[in-house]
Amino acid sequence: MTKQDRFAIPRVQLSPGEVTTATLRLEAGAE
Amino acid sequence: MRLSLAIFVVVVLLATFYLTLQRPDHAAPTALNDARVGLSEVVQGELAEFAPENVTRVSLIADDQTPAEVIVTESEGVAVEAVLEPVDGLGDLEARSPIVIRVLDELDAPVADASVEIWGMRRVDDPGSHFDYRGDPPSGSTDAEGRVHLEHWDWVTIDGRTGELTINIEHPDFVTFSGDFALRPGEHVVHLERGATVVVTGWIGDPANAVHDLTLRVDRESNLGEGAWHTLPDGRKAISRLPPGPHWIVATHMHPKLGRMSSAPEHFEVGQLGWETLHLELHPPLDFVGQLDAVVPRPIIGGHVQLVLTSGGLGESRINLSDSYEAPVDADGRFVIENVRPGGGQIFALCSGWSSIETLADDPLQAGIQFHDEVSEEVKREALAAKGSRAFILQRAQFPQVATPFVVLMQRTSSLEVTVLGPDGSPVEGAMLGATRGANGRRRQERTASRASTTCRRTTVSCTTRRRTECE
Repeated sequence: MTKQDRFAIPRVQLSPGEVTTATLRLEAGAE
Repeated sequence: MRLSLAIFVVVVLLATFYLTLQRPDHAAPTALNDARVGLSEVVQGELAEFAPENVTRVSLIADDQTPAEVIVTESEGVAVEAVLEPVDGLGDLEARSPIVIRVLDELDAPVADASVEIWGMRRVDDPGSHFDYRGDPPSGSTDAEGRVHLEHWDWVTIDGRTGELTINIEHPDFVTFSGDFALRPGEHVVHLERGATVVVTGWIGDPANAVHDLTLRVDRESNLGEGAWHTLPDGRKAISRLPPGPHWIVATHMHPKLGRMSSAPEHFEVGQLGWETLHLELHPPLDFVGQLDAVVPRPIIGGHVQLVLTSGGLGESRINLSDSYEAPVDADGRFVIENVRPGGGQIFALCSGWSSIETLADDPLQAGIQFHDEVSEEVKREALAAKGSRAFILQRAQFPQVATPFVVLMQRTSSLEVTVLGPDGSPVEGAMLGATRGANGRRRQERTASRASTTCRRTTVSCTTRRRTECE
C-alpha cells in the first residue's frame, strides 16, 4: 500500500432528506 | 637487556594509551539533538534517513511513553546500529529555563514598566503548533533598563521541546506587541512603536446632542484589552496607542430610557502618530425579526438561529470586527433576536431535520475571489461559476432590516449511516468517525455504538448541509 492509498479519504455523496449508508473496513496498522 | 625490555614495555603501554585517546568514540553521548523518530522507524533500521549529519544521539519516546534514546554507533552510511537506553531528564515537564527580554522604543531607549507575559508555546519540531502556556503564564514588568527576567517550560509536551514562545507586551504609551520568539541564547530585544490617538464621542438624533459615556470596541487585531480606553477631563473617550493602519469601531451607550444604543461599524485609518476624532451616531436598540422557510413543516422542533454581523476581513483586509447573536425558533417558525446593532452579516438556522441553505455570493470577494483591477460583471459571474459549490455562502442579512420578517431559506438535512468493520470483517465498536463537508464544511464526529441484539454496529452522522452536499 502506498502512502497515498493510506491517506485517501473515502467520499460519499449525500442527498437532502435521504439516508445514505456506507461501510468502512479498517486495516491492521503497521507495528 | 632487562632495562631494554622494560623500556620497550613502557613505550608499548604509552603508545596503546595514546592510540586509545585518539580513537573516535561515536558512542559517546553528545548534546541532545532535536531530531526525533518513532519507535517503529528505529525497528525498521531506517534511522539514518531520519538522523541529520553528525548526529550521534536521537531522542524518542517509546510507545509506553518511557523516554528513551537512540545512540547511533556509526555516523556515516546506512549501516546503523541502534541501542535503546533510558535517559534521565527527557520530557521533564517541570524543567524550566530563564529568558531575558529587553523592551526598547523606536530610538533604542529602554521602556520601563512594560507588562510582559508569556502566553503560548510552539514545539521545536512543529513550528505550526501552538499551545497555551501550561499553568500560570509567567509575567513581569521591565526594569529601568527595559529588562525583564522570566522562566519558561523547556518542554511543551512530554515529546516536544519548546522552540518558540508567544509573548504579549503592554505599555500605556505604546502599541501592544504580540508575537513569537525563537528560543536562542542571549537577550531577546523587542521594539515597541508609538500609536495613534483617537478621541470618540457619540450623538443621538442630532450631532449637537453629544453623548460621552461610551463603551468602545475596535477590531480584534488592534490587541486592546479591557481598560485600554481612558476618559478625558471633558468626559470624552480616548486612546493614544492604536496601531497605525485601518480600523473598525463600534460604540455603545446605555441610555436611561432608550436602552442600549449602538453605532453602525465605522471604518477609519490612522498614521503612526496620527490624531483622529470620531463623532458616531447612536441608534436605538431594535429587534431582528424573522422566520424559517414555509417549506419546513410546523411545528418546528429544536429550532435555533445565529446571526453574525461582520465588518472587514474580506480580500486584503486583515482586520475584522464581528458580533454574534443567537435566538431560539418558535414552534410556528418565528424568531426574534433582541437588541441587535446596525450592520451586515450572515445568518444560519437549524431545526430537527432541516438546516438553512447557502446562496450564491453577491460579490466574488465574499467567496474569497479577488481582482486587482476593475473587471466587468460578466468576468465576476464567470469567476463565481468556476468556484463551484465554494461560491455559495450563508444567506446575507442586513440590519436594520430591509424587509420584515426576514425569511431563512431551508432544506432537508442528509443522514449518513456508516458501519465500521475490522480487518476480519467483524463490526468494530467505539471507532471514531469524522465527516467533513466539502472544503470548508463543519466537521461532525461520532463514535460507533453497539446495537443491543445484533452484531451490526453503526453510527449515524447527520450532515447538516445545503445544496451540493458532500461528505468526505
